[in-house]
Amino acid sequence: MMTMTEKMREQVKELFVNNEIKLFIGFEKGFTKFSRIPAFAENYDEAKKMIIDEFETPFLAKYLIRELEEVAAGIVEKSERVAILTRGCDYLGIRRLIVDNIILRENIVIVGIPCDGLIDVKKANKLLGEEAREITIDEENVIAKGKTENKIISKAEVVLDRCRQCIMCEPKESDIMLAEKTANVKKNKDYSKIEEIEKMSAKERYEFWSRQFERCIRCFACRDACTACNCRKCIFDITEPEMLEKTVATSEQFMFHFIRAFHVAGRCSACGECERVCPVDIPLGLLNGKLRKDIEFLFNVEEAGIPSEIEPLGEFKLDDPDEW
Amino acid sequence: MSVKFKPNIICFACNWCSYTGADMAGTSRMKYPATIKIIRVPCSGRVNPTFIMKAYQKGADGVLIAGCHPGDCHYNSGNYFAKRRFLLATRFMNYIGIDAKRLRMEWISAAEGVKFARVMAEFSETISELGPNWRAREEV
Ligand code: SF4
Ligand code: SF4
Repeated sequence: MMTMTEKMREQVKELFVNNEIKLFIGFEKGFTKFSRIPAFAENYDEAKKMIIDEFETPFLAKYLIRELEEVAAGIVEKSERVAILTRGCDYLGIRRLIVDNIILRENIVIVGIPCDGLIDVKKANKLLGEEAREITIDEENVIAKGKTENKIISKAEVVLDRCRQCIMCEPKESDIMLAEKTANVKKNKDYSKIEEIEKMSAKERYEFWSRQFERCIRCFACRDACTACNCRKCIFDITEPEMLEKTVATSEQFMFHFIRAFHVAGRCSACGECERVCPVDIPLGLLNGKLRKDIEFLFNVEEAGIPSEIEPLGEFKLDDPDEW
Repeated sequence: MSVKFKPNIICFACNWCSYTGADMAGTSRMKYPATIKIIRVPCSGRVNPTFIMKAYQKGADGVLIAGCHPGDCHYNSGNYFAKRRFLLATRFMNYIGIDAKRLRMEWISAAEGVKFARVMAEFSETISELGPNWRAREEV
């Protein structure tokens, strides 16, 4: 059987030979053994370095803005297309950009990858008890090789937390699909951590979030990585009015995190990229998740993470609840 | 000597109903607490939840949003959008630890001077009982 990487190479070759795309966006090996970074190819040779496996990858959808927004806005008149490797979560991000009219669907070639969840190397290391030197992944298991001993771990144990709660395992629509769907790892919407926080007293909650927010260095990586944060001019960058000041203070941290989370309320697709890129591990997913949970509860939305033409906060019903 | 705590309350009042309602209360010589500072907005739908956080940050102890009754909005539906946003924002603020009792939304029409005065008095009372808000407030 052909692996996904081989199949991808074949498809990429065809796309470039037929002159269908100007750019292919995928992943390549990063600076450490198990890290993956974005890769860009303008011809087939450049695409040879690309790989698909099940280690944690960065989110690619946001790069489409840079490549295609001028075409969509009609500033440049080209019918160029960009192909992009797309898992379910990436698809939701791409969908977000399309719904927001930032990019056009006809400019994108969606190369779909079905996904069972990506592997968290940190979890594997923890189970092995040391830093793994080699990790091999097969259908159901992950084999981590240490200095002396090997450990076979079932995939479900080392899947990333965000992948456990995935709401879309493979892109809903694609132009090319690289494999048949295989759903081995069980996925469930899980709001239990959020419910735990809800049960605390107001004081405890405030203290909990103060502790978290105090670490924030306001690098804005969470905003930059997010597909829902696609405004050309961000409220954090403008100084008139200055909604977010530059002072280092708890109140300012609260301001920042309130604004960031609320600006993606009803738009967040639960991809977890903000949390992944945060250098100080702030559990941003617990903020976004709370908003999704409430939207589902208050406004009878079935799945708040799936982008719709009209957002939950962009519409109303006459029978909306009166009391929170 | 103990000084009685005087709360700082910000009220966002919509231009067409609630602000006129406040006028009504004034011209009918009704009394309401001086702790309330009114900010006039074109519509309750103009109230970005960020304004509420900003108010807390700059020293408000309570925030009140007053708009037209459902169905009466000058712009047809602004207050319905405001309501959705408000519902979500209240729960969210509560979640990050800011007491939800400090935030209130009321529908007050241009003719309801009495209601305006009553709501203000009630809310001022609630906030006085809760005491000053130190959460998410800037240190001075
Ligand atoms: S807020 Fe975070 S989880 Fe939600 S779409 Fe943006 S990056 Fe993804
Ligand atoms: S990525 Fe993390 S540290 Fe950077 S601004 Fe976002 S929450 Fe703060």
